[in-house]
Amino acid sequence: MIRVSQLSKQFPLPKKKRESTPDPREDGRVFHAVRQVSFHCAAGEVLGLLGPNGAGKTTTLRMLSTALVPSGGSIEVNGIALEKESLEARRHVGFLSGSTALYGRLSVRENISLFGEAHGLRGAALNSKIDALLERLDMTSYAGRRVETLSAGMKQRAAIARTAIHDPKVMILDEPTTGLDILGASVVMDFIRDCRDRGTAVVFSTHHLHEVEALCHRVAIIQRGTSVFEGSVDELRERGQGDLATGYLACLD
Amino acid sequence: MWIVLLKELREILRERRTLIVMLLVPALLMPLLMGGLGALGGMMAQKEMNKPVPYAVFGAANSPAFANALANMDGARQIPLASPAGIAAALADETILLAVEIPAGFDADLAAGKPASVKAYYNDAVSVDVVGKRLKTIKDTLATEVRRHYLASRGLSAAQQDFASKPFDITVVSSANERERLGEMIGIFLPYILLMTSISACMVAALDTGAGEKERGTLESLLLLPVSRAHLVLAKFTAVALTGIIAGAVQVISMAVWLALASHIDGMAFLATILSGIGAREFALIALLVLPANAIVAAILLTVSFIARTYKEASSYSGQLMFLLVIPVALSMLPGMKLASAWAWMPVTNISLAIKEVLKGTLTLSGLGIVLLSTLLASVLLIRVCVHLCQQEKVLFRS
Repeated sequence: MIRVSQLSKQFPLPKKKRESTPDPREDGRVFHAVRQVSFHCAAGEVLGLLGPNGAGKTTTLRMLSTALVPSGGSIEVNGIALEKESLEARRHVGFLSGSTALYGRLSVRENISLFGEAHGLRGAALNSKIDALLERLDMTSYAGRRVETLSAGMKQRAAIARTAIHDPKVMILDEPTTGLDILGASVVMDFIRDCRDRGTAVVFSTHHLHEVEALCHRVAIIQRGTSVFEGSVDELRERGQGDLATGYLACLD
Repeated sequence: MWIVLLKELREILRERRTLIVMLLVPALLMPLLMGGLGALGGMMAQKEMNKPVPYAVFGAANSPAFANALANMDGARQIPLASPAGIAAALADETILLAVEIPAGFDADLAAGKPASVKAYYNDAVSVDVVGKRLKTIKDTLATEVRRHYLASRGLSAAQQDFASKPFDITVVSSANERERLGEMIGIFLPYILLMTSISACMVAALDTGAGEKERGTLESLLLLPVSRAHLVLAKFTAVALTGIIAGAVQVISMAVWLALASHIDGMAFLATILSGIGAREFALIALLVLPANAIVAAILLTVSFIARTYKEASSYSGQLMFLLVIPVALSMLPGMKLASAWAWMPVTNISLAIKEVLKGTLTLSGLGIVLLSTLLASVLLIRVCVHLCQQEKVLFRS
């Protein structure tokens, strides 16, 4: 499970930026990208992180994935304090984004293998795991192909396999269906369902409310870096008198 | 770290641009370019030397011997000009390349033992001064003849005439051997070529592994591996430095092969002498010197590549940086530069100077020690700066 408490992230403002029209999140020489955001996601639960563009969703997820170091607050992954043991925490976290960030000049197998080896998997155990993942994602015949030659959908499948190679207990997904066609998006949706069924805690950001409706147990909404809602999907729907979109919009200014 | 390093090397070996700069340029293009330029330069010089020299002469009657010498000059072709006033225009439109004015009484003055002078008009702002060389030949030949007549008329014997012409000579007994002389000659440009090849290869690799990864978004996924950022940077640094080292090694080997092949060409036998003096020990020493140089370059270029927002920005910075990195190498090519005093401590310049000493066979152990120590210190410092900067969020996520 993952527990986020009072999470904050500040960025120093460049000189030019400080001179321009101030943003409410600007405070002197710093920009508060995320301010005291809290939520939690239990094992086998899917949490949808919603919010308008620039709300701070990606910054939040980057902190959860350990790419960014929080300025304040705490993140606990499976009982591990992320700020103290980030290397250990990474062994329990998988991260997937819309931009697959795969190595184009490496093959699908090499991409997955790199991450598997970095997580301590070796030899036959690694190979059989890669084979199983590729089969599950119906891309065994693409294993030896360079990623740069694949379609967007196939790249996303390869990225999923790479993310899941070390069986993370917490899965972080940043707008994973962006730019995908219906088939590609459904593969991602199936992956999230699969993670949920296997007892993985899944936190994913999206702009598509139908994905939230189909997958999420709980929802956290961020606006201008601050939490404006945290609760179940039903609670959000109630705010909109039975309509999820209305409930979502009601949470925003 | 090794897993990431292996990934970096795999990527580098599958990138066409890096392969071209790392292998093709040092193995083929650079030798062909140098050999081709050398051959072309030789051909052009030969063509210049053989080119016809249309000339005009005024006052030929004042010295039939001089006029005759001009007519017999290589490629001579006399062009009649109406008057000396037309010389400037004729030289400008290259109707003639030389005009000579022999003053009245020229031969009479010489016969009387009085110094005399002719005026020669030509353009001497050229890379190969063919006209000047031919004029000098005429002057030397005629002057010898005049001197001989003059001395003979004074009753001097042939031996006395020779003495008067050349009272003494200096016989040079060089303290340098053939290898030192040739080492000094090729030592001027070999380190430059070697270091520039390495720097170019490092640059391409650094651009790809730093700014390239940032731009493609793959850097962020690397940051999620259970590997410390310091180790990630070190893996990337090692890959970049290795690229430069491989390019340098290919350059050295290809030059040895090409020199060996070229030594069989007529007039190029001296190349065999150079090669005979460069054995496995010398190659090992050059490799040892190039290693820390690549570390310095790799650390600088990787830092710049990480700091840049985009690949394009990194290319632009690196391009400017190449000029800065050329300066210490170019310094070593200046006349009189030796691996001594403060220069022995100047990173990169000292490597270039040390390679020259290796080729000459005059590198001392203390010289090698100073070069390695200073370069090692500089590379360790730069690697630390690189690791420190490349761990910063503001650098990694600068966009």
